[in-house]
Amino acid sequence: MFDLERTIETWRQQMTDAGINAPVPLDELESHLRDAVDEQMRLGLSEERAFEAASRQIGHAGELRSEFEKVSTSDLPWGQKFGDRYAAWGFACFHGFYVIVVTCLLLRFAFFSGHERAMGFAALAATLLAVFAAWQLIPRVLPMIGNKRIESAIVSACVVSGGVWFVFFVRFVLPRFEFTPGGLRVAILWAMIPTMVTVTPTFFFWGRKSEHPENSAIAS
Amino acid sequence: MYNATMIRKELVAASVEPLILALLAGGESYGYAMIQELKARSKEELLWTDGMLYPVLHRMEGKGLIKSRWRESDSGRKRKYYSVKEGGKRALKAHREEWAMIHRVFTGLIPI
Repeated sequence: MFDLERTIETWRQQMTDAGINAPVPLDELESHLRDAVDEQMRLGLSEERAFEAASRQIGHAGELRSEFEKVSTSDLPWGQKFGDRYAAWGFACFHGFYVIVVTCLLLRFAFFSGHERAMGFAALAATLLAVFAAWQLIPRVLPMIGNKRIESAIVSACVVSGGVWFVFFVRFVLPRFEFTPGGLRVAILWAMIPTMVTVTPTFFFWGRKSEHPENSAIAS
Repeated sequence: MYNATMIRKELVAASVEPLILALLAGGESYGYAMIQELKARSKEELLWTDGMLYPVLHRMEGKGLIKSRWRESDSGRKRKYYSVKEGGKRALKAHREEWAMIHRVFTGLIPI
């Protein structure tokens, strides 16, 4: 005697065994399966046949797992925000290198007073915060533009404006003030914040890839 | 006769996101209902593999285009309902302009 509840339990176990073990997608798939079974039965199939048809419609557990894996990979902040892990690693290495260089600079040279050193680390922390904010914001804004040429123009404008700002600062702002050797370097670190932020879209743009292949599994 | 099996995978994949956004623009819905509506509207010419819809929905949710919530339907069954976020509305507008432009150019070259 066919027992629908037990069969759905077995189906759920098969999905779990295949690796679809997060409760949310599994609950959602089960809800879909039950709707599909109801529909098939309404069309006149027996409970058993309705289940067979519905589970076939949902798809093979292995293929589903593979598609969900792609999502869970892209759910990782790096993957999601930048689309490509290499770009994310490039982004992390770039900023990691900057942190190491600045930290070494601040700790190694004796011409920094205690106050300047603290201001230097504050500048470094502010840079990382600003970069993090840009990293959160850019993937939400940039893909909405929908025009690759405009996107690349924006990215280029960001990079150029970051460079122009830094040159302007060094050429026109710094000479107006008198700095101690440590103070000068700390001022440069603060001035680097906009420049470092404007580099972020470059990594995003580099990491973006066509999303269509990701969705191609849905084609029947 | 042109049928679903003749639609290239790439084209189906490219149309998934705009179609989901368009389906949800009419109000919140859940996976099964979306597939049924698509079937009906396309006269069963555009078919999706049911289960594969969910990774796409989850990906779109991750991108901030749509949001979801579990709620009990009138029948008592718990379902995950999706609705469009502001980002999704902007994306839909962009998709609409792109597809309209392609349609305009294509039909201008080869009248359908």
